[in-house]
Amino acid sequence: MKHLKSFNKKAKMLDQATSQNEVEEVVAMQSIVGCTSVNDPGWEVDPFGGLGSLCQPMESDLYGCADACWWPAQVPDTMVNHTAFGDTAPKANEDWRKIDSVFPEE
Amino acid sequence: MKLTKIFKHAVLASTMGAAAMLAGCHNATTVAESAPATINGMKAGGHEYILTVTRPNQLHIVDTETNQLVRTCDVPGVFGNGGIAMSPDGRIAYVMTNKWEDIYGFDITNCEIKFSAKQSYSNVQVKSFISMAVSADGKELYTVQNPVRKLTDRFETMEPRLAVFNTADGLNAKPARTFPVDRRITKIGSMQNGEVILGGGDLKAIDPKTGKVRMLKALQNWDRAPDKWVPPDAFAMHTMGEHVGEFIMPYFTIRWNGAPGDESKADFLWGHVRIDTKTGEVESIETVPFEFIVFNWVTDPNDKDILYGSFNQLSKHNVKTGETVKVQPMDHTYYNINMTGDGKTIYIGGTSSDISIHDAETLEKIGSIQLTGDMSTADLRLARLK
Repeated sequence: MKHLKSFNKKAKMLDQATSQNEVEEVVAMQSIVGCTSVNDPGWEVDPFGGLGSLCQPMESDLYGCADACWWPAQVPDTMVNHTAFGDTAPKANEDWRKIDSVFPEE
Repeated sequence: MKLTKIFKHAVLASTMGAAAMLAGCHNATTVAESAPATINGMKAGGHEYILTVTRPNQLHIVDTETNQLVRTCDVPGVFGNGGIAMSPDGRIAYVMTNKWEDIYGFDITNCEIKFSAKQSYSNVQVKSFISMAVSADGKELYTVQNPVRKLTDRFETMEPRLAVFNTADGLNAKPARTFPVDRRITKIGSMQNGEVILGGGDLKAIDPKTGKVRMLKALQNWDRAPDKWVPPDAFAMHTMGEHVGEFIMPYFTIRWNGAPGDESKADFLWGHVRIDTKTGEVESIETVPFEFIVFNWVTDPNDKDILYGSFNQLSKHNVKTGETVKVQPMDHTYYNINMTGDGKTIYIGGTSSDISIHDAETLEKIGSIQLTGDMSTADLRLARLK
């Protein structure tokens, strides 16, 4: 991690928060999309501690997370690296069986 | 805005009829040509259409009178993000495509491509995150470019910039001017005075002729006491507000009524910044309780105190009193919302492949439009075809 340099205000806040063990003070969603511009930890519960305000069903949110590079670790990033992901499945809620995992190129 | 479509059409028809009687056939033809009833079979004269983009990569145009899909245009390149900016005459839809890089301008009456721009060049990859707008006179198209130079041993992150295209340059247009802007700008709009609103951490305006930037509303850098307020967390994604001539952006904040961090005494609030694109007036207010998520607000054209939001539910709020007026559960998550200029019909889209149509008074679902694929992050814009 020593080779990574804080570049914007949010990243600097994250550095400070990490060093102070106060990660919750970081504003994580001030602005969105763009692979390196987001710092979205990937949550399992909604802001209210429940599930009702998570996207439902996940198929509705699948391309919204892939296209915007919102969660590039959890969903293939179609913005830069995996642009053909979903080509055979234009409707995620109907074509979900055709959606496959992606693998690193040899 | 308060005229009904029927009334507007009646006024238009009677005006054209009177012109024909007073001025004779030749002049009547001139009047008809300046405000045609139809263009390539599509109702014009201010008729309203809802536009969105879906996978695999298609622009769809829906007639708000019939709620029928009237035209579908194939968009070049890979889908993404499906952003749309309309020309002021409602005829050209500028669509962001090809992995958030290229722009194509479609004549929505016949799908003809009138404008194109590939933003990446040489070894520089240029992405625009949602951010696209057309000037009030239709002569310029704006994007915020986020360039990265791809070198053999590293990526060089370059400074973001506002790119100004002349829409008259047609195909393969290049930026006429560029100006440096802040990072992380995602939502932009144009004002009647010529400035471009830059929505990101803060809301600023840039003069696209000189590059001069001024603050419209500080959000991330607001000067409220940190022991009383949490800096806003804005969701600057989609642009809407064209039905009433405004730019509106929601944000979330917390007001500490006790000690900072004492949630039992805190108010969790939705706020918004609303800019009148005609006058430049800026409104910022936090009244609506943060009870559920919304992605966007749209204003009721007949009562600016009433806002509608959507996500897992469609909700109606009075921002003056903070009251949640109505809530309607939705079939699934939707990112996007827009409505007609008469304030009667709400369209909800984004995420999946269906636009959900609702009565603005009752919020009840009154229709659905199935499209060819998922809208994902695409815009849902209103066009008035003149």
